[in-house]
Amino acid sequence: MALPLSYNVKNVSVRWKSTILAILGIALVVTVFVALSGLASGFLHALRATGRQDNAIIVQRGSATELTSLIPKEQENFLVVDDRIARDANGTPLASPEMVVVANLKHRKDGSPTNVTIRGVSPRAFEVRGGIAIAQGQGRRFTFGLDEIIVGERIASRVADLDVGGTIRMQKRDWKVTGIFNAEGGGFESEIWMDAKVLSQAFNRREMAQSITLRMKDPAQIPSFALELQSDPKVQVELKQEQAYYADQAGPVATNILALTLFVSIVMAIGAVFGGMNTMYAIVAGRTREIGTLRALGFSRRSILLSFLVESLYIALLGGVLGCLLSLPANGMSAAMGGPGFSEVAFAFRITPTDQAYGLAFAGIMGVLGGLLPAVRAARIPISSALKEA
Amino acid sequence: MKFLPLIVRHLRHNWVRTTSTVLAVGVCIFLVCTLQAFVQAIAFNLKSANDSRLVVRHNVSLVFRLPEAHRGRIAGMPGVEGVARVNWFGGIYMNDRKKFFPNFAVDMDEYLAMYPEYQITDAARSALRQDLRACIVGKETAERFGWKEGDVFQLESFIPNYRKAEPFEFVIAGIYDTDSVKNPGTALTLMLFHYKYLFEGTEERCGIGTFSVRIKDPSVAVDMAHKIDDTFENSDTPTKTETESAFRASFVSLGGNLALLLNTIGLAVTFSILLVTANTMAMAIRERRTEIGILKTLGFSNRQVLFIVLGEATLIGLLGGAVGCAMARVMIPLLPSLPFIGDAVRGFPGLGLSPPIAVLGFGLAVLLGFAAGLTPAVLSYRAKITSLLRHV
Repeated sequence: MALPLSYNVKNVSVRWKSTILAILGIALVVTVFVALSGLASGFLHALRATGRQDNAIIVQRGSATELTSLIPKEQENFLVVDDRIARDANGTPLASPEMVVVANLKHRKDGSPTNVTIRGVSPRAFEVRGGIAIAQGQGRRFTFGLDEIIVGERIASRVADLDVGGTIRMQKRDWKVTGIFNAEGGGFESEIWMDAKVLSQAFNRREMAQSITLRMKDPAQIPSFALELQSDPKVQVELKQEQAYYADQAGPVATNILALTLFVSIVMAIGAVFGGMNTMYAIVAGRTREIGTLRALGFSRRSILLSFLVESLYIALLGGVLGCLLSLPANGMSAAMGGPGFSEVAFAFRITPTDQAYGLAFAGIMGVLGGLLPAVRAARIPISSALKEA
Repeated sequence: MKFLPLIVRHLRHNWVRTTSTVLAVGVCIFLVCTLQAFVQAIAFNLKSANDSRLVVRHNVSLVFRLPEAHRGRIAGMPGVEGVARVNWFGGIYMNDRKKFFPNFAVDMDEYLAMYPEYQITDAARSALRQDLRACIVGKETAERFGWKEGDVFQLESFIPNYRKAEPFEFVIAGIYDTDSVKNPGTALTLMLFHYKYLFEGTEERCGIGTFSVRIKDPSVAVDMAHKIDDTFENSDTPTKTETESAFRASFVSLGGNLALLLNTIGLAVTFSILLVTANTMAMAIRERRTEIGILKTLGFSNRQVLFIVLGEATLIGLLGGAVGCAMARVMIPLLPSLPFIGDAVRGFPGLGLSPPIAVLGFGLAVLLGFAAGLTPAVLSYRAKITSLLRHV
């Protein structure tokens, strides 16, 4: 027969003084774990939320980033007329050839240098990309042909002079900020956008696209289209689903954050398990008589073992819940990290339910590990000596 | 001091608890030391940059090339001792981005003159001159791939301009090392090869990424940087010149505010040590109420009882600190060879437990032990014999 759960719950609430420190210890580990995975999630989200499901992007074969890719004009002309690409009402393909450069600007806070991605876009880009909108009351789009730029919301708040009406100086020209835009939380919010033609003149670039973003008629055709281009000797390009492309770019950085998260949390957890074990041993020792009584009443060794394991698990889960709550203030905190092509990607901590679920599971594992040995000791206590104790 | 045997007895009596507390503290101190080692590695990396070296790049971005003509003009400026072309090659080994190490095409003679901390043998120097494909590789990267002098390997760049039909082939002329005491933080992961090889291999299309400039007088580094930038301000390719440390700082800040993040985690870990130790001490004292009552009855003063409890807590901290430092000493140098984590930490040169960090970790453990003992100690100091003995 198993001991009722309420036995454990009541024990913990009656003797809260002896468990509070263990609960806090576990809570702290879970806080760190959840906050760090929130950091990784935020970074992944910023790049993953970049792009649309039904878009594909073409870059030069073997180029790691858009920055290092080049697509000659004749290849571009050949590619965009493919009839798998969606067309607008006038029959023009929904394709946006774009250019990317990285500019060295200064942080608002302390004037330290940072690299910002500048994207030169064609008039079609807003239609193809979708989800790019000028923030409420934050100016207007740039005018094609003029030295005007619009700035992503996240980078605008971090980099100096990027306010509506402000100017930045690049290539001996003054660029006027006409608007601040958002992109549904995606990575474009860390970019500056301008007319691709103006960009190519100002930065002495031959007018050559670095990437082409396409709206597909049917997104299911992306894999076969990609395979066809891969083996086509006429073009030196590769095609990927747009979201997958940007998510891949996040890969190495996100993996590194994840490695840090795991390392720190596991080492901290070892410490917390030892601490929890101490508490459980003390609980078992303090309740020797009670255990003897339970055994005398007919509860088996196994149900005693199980009961203490459950109690340990319960304590750990309390800590886990507390940890999840403690980590919540980190949600939405802004951070910045080096993204693809040495440029800064600003993003927000994003504590997802998944992160919290992992945090709780992690707490549960700590609870079971920390409770196992003390529970075994509890189960082994012989009835006679347990009742003899004062 | 004369109560030490009594304290040790206490700790040995409940050895399971003592061991697990000491291990918990030890593990956490190990983590604190490891995090600090990273923070230090970042700081060293910046410090290893030398203010007698400037880096010249395109004023808009690293991706734009500089013209060859700039080189002669910079070299001719008074106060300049040497100029080397440096191109980030972006070569990938075995087509696997996980096997990444930084590789640069440089003007070898000028570059090595500028970086005396990269030590190579004379044999390596002459081997470098004899083969266009020759390169030198840092000790850590050489050990990672088991390379030795004379080995041949290939790299393929992810930068389209640097790609050709087949990958670039390199011969290892030498493996460079450094005096880690004199030059802490010097990267031992780089691979350097002849700029000329890249230039010819790309049919002279590679352009110039940056110039490294050595100047005579580091105290006028900032003025020199301005002078260079002023020279080219009205040319087609204006430049941005910074000291090497400023140049590197702009990359480190790209790693996010890593040092801040690591320090925040360190703080959380420290706090968790405090919790674990305080927990143990609270339990120990709770169990020992009667005993403390007896001590006081026997004539031990309140102060003596206070010191015994504080001593016990501090001793736990001391032991934990020792365990933690020992773990850090053994484990930190092993980190880069671990799977998964290794990939993340390989970029940090000169990772190890330095004496200041060991002292910090150890001191922290002792201090936290002491702090954890404070509340129980004060409680036992104040407790009346009558209430302590009530439960006999």
